[in-house]
Amino acid sequence: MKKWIDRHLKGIFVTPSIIFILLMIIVPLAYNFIMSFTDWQMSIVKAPKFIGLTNYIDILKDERFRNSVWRTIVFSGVAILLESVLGVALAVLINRKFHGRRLVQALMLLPVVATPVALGMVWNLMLEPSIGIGNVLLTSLGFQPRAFLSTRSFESMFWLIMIDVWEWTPMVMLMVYGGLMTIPTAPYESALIDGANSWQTFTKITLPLASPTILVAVLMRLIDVVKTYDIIYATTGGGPSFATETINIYGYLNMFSYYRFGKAAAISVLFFIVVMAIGCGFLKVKSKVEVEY
Amino acid sequence: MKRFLALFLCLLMIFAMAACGQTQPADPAPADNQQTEAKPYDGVTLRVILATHDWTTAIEPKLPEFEAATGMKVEFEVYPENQLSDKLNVELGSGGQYIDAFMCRPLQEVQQFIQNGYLAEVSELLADEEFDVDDFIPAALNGYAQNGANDGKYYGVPLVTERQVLFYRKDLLEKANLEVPTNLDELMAAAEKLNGIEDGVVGFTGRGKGNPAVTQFSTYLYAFGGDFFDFETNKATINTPEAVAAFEYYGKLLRECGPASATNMHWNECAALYSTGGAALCTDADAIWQSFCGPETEIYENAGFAVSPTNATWNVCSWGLGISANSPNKEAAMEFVKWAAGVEMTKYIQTAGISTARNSAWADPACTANYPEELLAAIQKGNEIATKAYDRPMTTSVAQARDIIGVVITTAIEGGDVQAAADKANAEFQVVLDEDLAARNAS
Repeated sequence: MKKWIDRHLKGIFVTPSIIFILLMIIVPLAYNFIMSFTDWQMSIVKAPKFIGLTNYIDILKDERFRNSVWRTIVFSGVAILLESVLGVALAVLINRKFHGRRLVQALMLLPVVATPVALGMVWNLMLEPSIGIGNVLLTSLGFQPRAFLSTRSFESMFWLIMIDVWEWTPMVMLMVYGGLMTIPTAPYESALIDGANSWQTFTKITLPLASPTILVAVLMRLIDVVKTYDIIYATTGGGPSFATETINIYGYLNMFSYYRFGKAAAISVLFFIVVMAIGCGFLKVKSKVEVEY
Repeated sequence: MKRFLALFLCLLMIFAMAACGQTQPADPAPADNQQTEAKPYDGVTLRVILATHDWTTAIEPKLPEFEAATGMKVEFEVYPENQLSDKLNVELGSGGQYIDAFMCRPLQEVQQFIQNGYLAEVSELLADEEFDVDDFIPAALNGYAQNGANDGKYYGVPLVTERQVLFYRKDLLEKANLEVPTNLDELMAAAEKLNGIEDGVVGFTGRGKGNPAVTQFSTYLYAFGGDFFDFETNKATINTPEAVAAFEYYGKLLRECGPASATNMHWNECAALYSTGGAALCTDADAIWQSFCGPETEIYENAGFAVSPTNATWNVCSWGLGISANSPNKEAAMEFVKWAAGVEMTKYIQTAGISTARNSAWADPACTANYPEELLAAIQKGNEIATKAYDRPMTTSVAQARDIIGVVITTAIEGGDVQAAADKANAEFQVVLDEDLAARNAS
């Protein structure tokens, strides 16, 4: 027995986590996949009926779904771009020695550690056009008041992106900062001797050496930003009139508001494939970049 | 030090998690050590899920009396409307054997609940003479019949009713030298005149957020002679000339005389604005008058009430109690419902200022003594003139229908092409109606 344990030690140690992953991830995923081929409306008296690919065909024909895909792309694309650029810039700044650096670091991390739903509610209140502080500030500075999240134009989406950027840029900053700290000082010293200016040091030394960490940070944010749900739910709930409805919100509504379990399951299957594809694509890019340097 | 800190943080987390659960275990029944005789439901624990509502607040202190009398222990779990819906869907959809009784909305989800087999039939309770089923406002009780069928089968009992009323500010109307508006023309004129009468005051506020706005918009729709769909033919009618005129009227009212955030306003945003003096007029349900202009608001002194100027108000049952079809304690749950929706408790709750669903409570002057005189008059007039018992489409997929119709309301408020939006919404709504009909026929 003892021998058997010794021989299978590695396997035994990982078994609990494998069981956990099976129960908490694989089983629900498989169940969701099966349900996506049924018309189940959450009835406990009528068994789910197998309807083949009908849900998928319905979804692809559904204009509201297509719009939500488009909105998810716009939201994620713009948010990830701003978060990466600002995150790297802030990390470079914070990497310099200055008085009160630790305090600035701690303050910047506050949005990351706060509860997103609570943040959403606070932002909702601040951006409330009639009583929120946003318009008070704008009008006191002589600008026209804005509708913020209460309009069907792109403005509501814009503000949601801003909230996401405000909340998550420090996360990117923190990860990139970790990467910057691992860069040795020697290359900088020789660059200084060779007469390189600060832009050249940044583009030729900092960026290439920190690129693996930057890419990991961006990948993690990308997967997260595509899945963003809490902030949108707590502020606009996808409204006004679907103007900020992303795939996640649409899936949630189908499940919890419309009782279309099968359709919601199909939406999440499609969504899962998209997120996986983004992840795999990004990992490929990452491995290429890493080989280059 | 680090260990101590870690321990402290762990404890903090555990407390925070416990607090998040929101479970509100009822106070233990008053100690009664001498009593030895067995009570009918000794040892039974009921799990009752309720909405954050004035009704819940009113009944909670009375619970120990019920527990002492029956011997059962009742655990209340209270959630805001949306979270309550999610909670019920998940638990009932997975069998519902851990829930005994719960609050639900007859016009919103009850039809889907009945179709899905979540709700137990309560004929046994209704047959109980003590419960006096004939005392219920018939339309309110009817919300618990499947598709309004008159077959004597009911899947719950009504608790709270509401009508649309007009809230107005007496001081502002006086300042503008205006009479209380009694029809739609007067309402528009008054709202225009009152808009900006004081710094930061809008003429009118009302729900403008797509989905939630549908119920309050409905009286405008009825006033213009429209309806959501034709019951006989199951055909959507939200793009008829009458409906479009109603959308345009409501849109103009909010666009020109309402707050800038109209399209993002549910009733609580409207109440926040009105109760702090930010609006002169508002139409919403009477049941939530305390949030708009109750004794605890800034404007209570100047709170005026009138029957809705649309003169097409409904009398609807907004909340009721149901019993889970798979509850292992059905009999005890029935006993609880019998107590909570019984004549005596209903009168007690009505006295606290909550509009109930029993005629006897409305007829008893002692029960309505806490209502402002004008409000009571508006409610009674509303009861008289109410022609409909629904404020949203009476189909199964109510939430989906409301989302679709809500888009037209938003378009109207933003000043867009209402006819085009209504045509598009009508087609989408028709698909929902057809699906619902097919599902009903199949079941």
